[in-house]
Amino acid sequence: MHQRPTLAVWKFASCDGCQLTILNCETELLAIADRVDIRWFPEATSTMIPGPVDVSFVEGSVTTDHDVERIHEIRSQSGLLITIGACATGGGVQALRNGVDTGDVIKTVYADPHYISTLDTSTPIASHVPVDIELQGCPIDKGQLLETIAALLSGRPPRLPQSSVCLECKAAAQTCVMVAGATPCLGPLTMAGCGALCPVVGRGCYGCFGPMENPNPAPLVSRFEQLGMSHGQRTRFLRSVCDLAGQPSPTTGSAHE
Amino acid sequence: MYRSPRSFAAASGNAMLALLAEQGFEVIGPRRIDEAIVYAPLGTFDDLPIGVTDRQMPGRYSLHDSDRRSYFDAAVGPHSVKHHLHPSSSTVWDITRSDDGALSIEMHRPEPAPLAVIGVRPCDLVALEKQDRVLMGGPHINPVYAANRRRLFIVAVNCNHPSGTCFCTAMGNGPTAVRGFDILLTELPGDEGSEFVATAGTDAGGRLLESIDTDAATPEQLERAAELAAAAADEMRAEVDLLEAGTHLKEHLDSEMWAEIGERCLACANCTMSCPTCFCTDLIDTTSIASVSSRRTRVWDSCFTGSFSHMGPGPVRGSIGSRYRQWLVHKFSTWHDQFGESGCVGCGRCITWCPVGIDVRREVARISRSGT
Ligand code: SF4
Ligand code: SF4
Ligand code: SF4
Ligand code: SF4
Ligand code: SF4
Repeated sequence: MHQRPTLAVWKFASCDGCQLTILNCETELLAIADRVDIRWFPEATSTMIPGPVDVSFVEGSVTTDHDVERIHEIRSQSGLLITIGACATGGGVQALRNGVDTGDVIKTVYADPHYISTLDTSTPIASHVPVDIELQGCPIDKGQLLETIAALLSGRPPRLPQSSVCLECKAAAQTCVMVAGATPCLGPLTMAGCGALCPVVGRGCYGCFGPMENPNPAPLVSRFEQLGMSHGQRTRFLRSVCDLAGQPSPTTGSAHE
Repeated sequence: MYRSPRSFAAASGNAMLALLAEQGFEVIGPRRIDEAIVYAPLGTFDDLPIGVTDRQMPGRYSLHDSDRRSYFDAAVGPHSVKHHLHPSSSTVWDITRSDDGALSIEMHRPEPAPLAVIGVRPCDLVALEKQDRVLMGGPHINPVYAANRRRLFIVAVNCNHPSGTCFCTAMGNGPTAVRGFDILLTELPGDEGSEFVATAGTDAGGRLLESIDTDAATPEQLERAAELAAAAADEMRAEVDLLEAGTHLKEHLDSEMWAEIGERCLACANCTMSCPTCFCTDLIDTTSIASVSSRRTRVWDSCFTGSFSHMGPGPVRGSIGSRYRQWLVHKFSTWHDQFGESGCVGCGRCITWCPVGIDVRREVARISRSGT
């Protein structure tokens, strides 16, 4: 047998939820451990073997000067770099502070603000270093994680759909909560992958998988307005976990126009 | 076997369902689940959404109490029989590699239990016929579809109350069924409860009708059924013959209207997913963590996704407008070239279930009339 590929899991500004998704792969973890050599995974093991690795999974966003240095170091030590979750791929909930006065935020939150050293923004990993594969979601989907690992071990590209949550919603024979229940839903703008988790339990999608391949927010925003959402509510909804508002309308050309 | 129409009351309907269940059929029919009427297991006629009707508009669906005590008063719901015939996901094969490197291939040839669907609408019967042509009409037969199709027993129901998005008549069919059913019912609502006029379409349907308590349908009952059908058709009276207009869409591929629709469309694919005739699928190969087995799965796809037309550097149809054009032109225009008929039956699902209410009736009419 070939030498097992080495793997590391790194954490930046995040809640650990995506790392927990890795640990939640209980039944598959043994099979994975059989095929890869886990060198660095503080959430799971106390054995830490630094040094270059074949694959790095990175959770969390970049929020400090130290983070910036660290992600460059990790990139240089990693064969493939895979970001996991909304924080690493989009900046996460903590990116709500982007565009507001960070000093004010710190004063509101912390009793002793002078201990806090932070950047003004929370940014995705891809804003700092090249990323090979992005796994979306808050947290990531276990199925997509296993698919990615299985794909890498077999030397094929992982199947990560870029289409809207609506496809999965209809495939699951779920009645649309927005058409039938007048519940605002971000599914049409959001990337598939979760299996329409929220609509299946009667809720609107809040976009935790980030923007799909070609999102077109304007018509959906008008629909939210018709559903009675105020301007402020619409803005907050489109910017709850991932930024779904900032996408330009994809009227770019193509070969078949 | 009965050659002429019969009539019966709800009690005989219950007997019919019980007999189907006894014969080993899984019986499903329209039921109220949460906010919509969807196919779900049906024990008796009392499980049907009695006295419930639907209101459908572009991008809107709601249920309401009706002043009638009808069993089949709601038009088509979000999901068609497609879900039970051409499932959104099905396994094609599993391949396993043994320690000595030999491959064993297991083709999946499902043998589904017989399924009886109660309350299939005339538009959906026509849609079934179109899917039959695509998925088992030629030399390449989709085995899952064919197996599901063979197991199917259909009790169709003529439409008395089309919804606001129905336009079957403008597509040259409905609101009454002509073929494709085992039994066809027309509901005659009345103060004492509904009566049903029943016609057998197959031997199996005829035998089932013979096994339950029915009477010969009276001339009055048949006349009432015809009046109801005429009234239903009247409700949908359209100004434009969309069947004919649709054939001209392919002459307008360069219209500026596609880009304009592209600004209103989300490319969410709800229209293609809910359409009872859309058949497109993707094939997905996955491998196990141990890399000793792989599985091929067939899943629904849509011409609204980027991967659908992805070649080399990216999707051939990059803009939303070009994807909308593919959907509309295929459905209403080039389907004729491919299969000798339209791909649309006028069920209205793509209109109701479009989150932003884009209406194919309007788009077909104005694009086919436009200058370019
Ligand atoms: S509930 Fe949301 S995700 Fe599902 S079809 Fe409707 S808009 Fe799309
Ligand atoms: S439905 Fe939307 S919010 Fe819910 S898990 Fe999926 S992507 Fe996240
Ligand atoms: S195109 Fe629309 S109206 Fe026509 S069959 Fe499909 S879903 Fe029904
Ligand atoms: S309209 Fe699109 S999804 Fe539907 S059958 Fe045609 S190409 Fe396929
Ligand atoms: S026409 Fe409507 S349902 Fe179809 S992709 Fe566009 S927005 Fe979605």
